[in-house]
Amino acid sequence: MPRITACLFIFFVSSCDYFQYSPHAFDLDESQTNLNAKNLLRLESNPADDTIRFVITGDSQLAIDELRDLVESVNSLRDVDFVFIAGDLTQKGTAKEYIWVQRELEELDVPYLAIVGNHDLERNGESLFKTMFGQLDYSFSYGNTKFICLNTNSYIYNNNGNIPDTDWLTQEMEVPEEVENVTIVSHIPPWWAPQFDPDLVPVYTNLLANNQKTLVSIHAHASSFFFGQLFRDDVDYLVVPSIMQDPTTPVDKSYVLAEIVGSVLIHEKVIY
Amino acid sequence: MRILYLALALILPLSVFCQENDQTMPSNEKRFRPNPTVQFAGGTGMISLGLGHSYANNKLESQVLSGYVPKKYAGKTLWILTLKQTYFPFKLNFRRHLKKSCYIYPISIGGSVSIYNLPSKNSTELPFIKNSTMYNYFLGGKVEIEVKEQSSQFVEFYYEIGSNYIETYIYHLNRSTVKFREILNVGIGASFHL
Repeated sequence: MPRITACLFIFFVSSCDYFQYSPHAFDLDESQTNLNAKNLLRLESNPADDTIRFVITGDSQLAIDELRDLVESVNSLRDVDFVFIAGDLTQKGTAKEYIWVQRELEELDVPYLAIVGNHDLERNGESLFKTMFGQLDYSFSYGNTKFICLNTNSYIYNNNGNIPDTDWLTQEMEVPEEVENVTIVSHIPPWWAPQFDPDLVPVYTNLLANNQKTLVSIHAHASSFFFGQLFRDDVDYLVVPSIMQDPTTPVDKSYVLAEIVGSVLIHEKVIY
Repeated sequence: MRILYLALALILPLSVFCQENDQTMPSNEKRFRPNPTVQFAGGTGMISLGLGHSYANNKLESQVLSGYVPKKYAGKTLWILTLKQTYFPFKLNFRRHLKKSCYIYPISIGGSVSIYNLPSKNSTELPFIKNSTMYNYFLGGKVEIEVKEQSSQFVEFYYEIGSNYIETYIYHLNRSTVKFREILNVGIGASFHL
């Protein structure tokens, strides 16, 4: 009896580090919370020069191994100021997915900023994203550019008319004179209806078109790379390729390296 | 995975001591009386309470558990209803070593479905998997001890080590970055056959 009890106890203790209340429950330590704000503080400590150089990627979802490869590739680049993860860090928004992805992102040598994607909001994902990264809508200025990070995952909220928050976006797009460019970064692009609320597409596109300082609207979600204009309004849209590969149509693993010089956006697709 | 193999290698040889049908058959009234159950963790909530019922010569057990996760641990209070089915292939009788009846069920295999109070959202799930539903599986074991000598009243203590379909699939796809032990969760509980 004592031997069996000992065997069971060893099995019990060695099998797992902790008791899990639910896949949707989390007990994050201080180093795993409020990461966007912490990374913005890191970014502030590295003042911008004439060129803002940043990496944009997204849709890691099920591909955490591939995310590790991407981190290695980004770390080999020089003079990158920060990295945008443009949504869908996780597949189902569970606590362990968030932790596994964050563990890989922590290996980046430069600050990273997470934008919420539709998959990140599934199940209890919204609570997790807010605890781990912070607010779903946020903005910051770096150099001569204001970056507005926006939750455009309307579909998850049953297209209730409040997502994206166009009132907040309107306020954020009113920038002081010294800001030369406004760049919007979100997960779902506006032409991706009905996942982007169809009623809010004209509101969004008009806001961008009517602001002289709009530089580019950056998105993920669509899997493949795209750069161009779609609404006949001179607004450029950039869509970054996904980290997760579609097994039926494998393509080169890639991300986008962008530079803002003055009021010009230069972008390059980097294959790794 | 090595730990599981090790555990099975340790436990399976014990089956040679297995004795069947040596527990007094309960009366009809007792046979259909549900067993109050309490569980800690294991994906069913921080604490879950419910009822269980053993049948098929105690080889099968069905449980309904209502679990709770405080807001502190989930950003919002989670209520979880879990339907659980467990199979116990064999049991070991330790009555000959003790004054009280004592049975050990070294292996249990089971699965459960948990339904959450999460808001209804559009999602990318398959049609038969709702945003608020989670499917789990587990291995475990239990010890059944008589409360008083010759009383036929038992208390069971059980443990479960398992995972769910999401974490298992992600582990399958990401063997370099996700460790097997990271997808496991542990639950312990007690059930009262009074």
